[in-house]
Amino acid sequence: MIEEIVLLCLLGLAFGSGLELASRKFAVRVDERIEKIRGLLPGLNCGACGFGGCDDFAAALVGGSSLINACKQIAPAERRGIGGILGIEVKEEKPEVAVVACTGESKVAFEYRGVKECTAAANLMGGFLECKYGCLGFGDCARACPSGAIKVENRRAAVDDGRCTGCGICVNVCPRGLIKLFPRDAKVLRMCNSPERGKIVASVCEKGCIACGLCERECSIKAIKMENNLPVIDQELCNGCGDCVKACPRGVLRLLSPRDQEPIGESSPRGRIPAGNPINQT
Amino acid sequence: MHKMENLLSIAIGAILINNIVLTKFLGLCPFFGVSTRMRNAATMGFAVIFVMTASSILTWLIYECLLIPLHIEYMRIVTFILLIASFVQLVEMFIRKTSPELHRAFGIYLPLITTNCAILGVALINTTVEGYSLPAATVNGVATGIGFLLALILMAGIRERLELADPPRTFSGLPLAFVSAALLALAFQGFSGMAI
Repeated sequence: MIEEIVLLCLLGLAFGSGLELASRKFAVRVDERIEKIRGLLPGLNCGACGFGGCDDFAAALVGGSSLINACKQIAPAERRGIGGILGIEVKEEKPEVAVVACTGESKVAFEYRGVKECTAAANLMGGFLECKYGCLGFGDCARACPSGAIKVENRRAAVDDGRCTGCGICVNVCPRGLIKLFPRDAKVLRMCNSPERGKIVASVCEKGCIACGLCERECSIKAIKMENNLPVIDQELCNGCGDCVKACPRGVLRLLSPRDQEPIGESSPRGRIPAGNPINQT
Repeated sequence: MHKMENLLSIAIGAILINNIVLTKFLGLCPFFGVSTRMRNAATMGFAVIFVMTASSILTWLIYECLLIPLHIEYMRIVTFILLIASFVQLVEMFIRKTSPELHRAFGIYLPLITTNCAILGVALINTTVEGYSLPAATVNGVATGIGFLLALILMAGIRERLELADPPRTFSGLPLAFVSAALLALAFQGFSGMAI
């Protein structure tokens, strides 16, 4: 009985002191700023910055502080903290949110039975949809998303704005280039990406933009311009009145739903939109 | 000559006939956890080979030189765990100092190996179950590690292909991995009873 206790204590002591000695001998000097910065980074290890993870990014930041904007997910307070550690001024970044610009109503051209990935489907005869710009809905973006914000419903990918951190990984994954980052305070979004002429779009999709230009005409502050058969919304000018959304005959324009943003007060222009707006009920 | 043949039969037995994962069903957590990508599986496998070899030698020494003379063989599990855990810690520190690249590649896997029951299993087989000599224990450690690597690589290859398949929703992911692991284990049963 005594032997065992003594032996185990001795072994533990021997191994413990051995490890202690080794940790001194093999100590690696690490820049203490790296650890501090690592603590302030989000720790999602999404890799959107181009480094292997938050650890690598923290080490890279100490080497070149101009990289700080590569990470889109740092909260403003943390960003300032990192700026303080590195001794640089940090510009405020507007938080962004990813949006899949497709209503998912395109007609199907042929039955596709290949590998269930958008990249593979897009390479086969330009995709199985009549619309060559539509969402293929196999969810390459959903698999790539590190925060699980993208879900595929009814053959169309949709971003959960509440979960999206705006890292932008999905933007590069989509073979159709449908996903774009918008500032979180953007008011009106276009849910179609087809630059085809109106007649062609109308023949393949129930809800595609037919470039009628009604939104451009209805906008009282001229925030919408038609370019390449698509309306381009100047998010700086737009006040979110929603006239264009009501005017669009195809339901292509959408108001960013209120839960995407900070709580909106009574004075907000958004308050004027009737609650029964059909496009809001997504 | 007789001894060499003996070692060879131990090696082949540990790699194929008594494969640690597919026949003895030890070390199943890394088998499922790290087998989604071929690269990760190979790295993990090599790390396991290294730790298994070293821990086979160390545990054999401590068993023969400390536990048997003191007649406290029944304390082997505690002692082995203590030894393996501190050894892996030491190796991690050493690698971090000497080769940051290797540390980045092995970094997450080394601490995982500490809790891998296959390592303890090999140590117990070497000492109490089979009662090997030191060379035999070393060979058994290396060969079991190679068997683990083989199982992991086979599984990773299957799972990489399964990812492109379109199974029913309930089966996709881990359930399908369990089914294929069972089939793989059945295939390895074909080696059992082979006389070398």
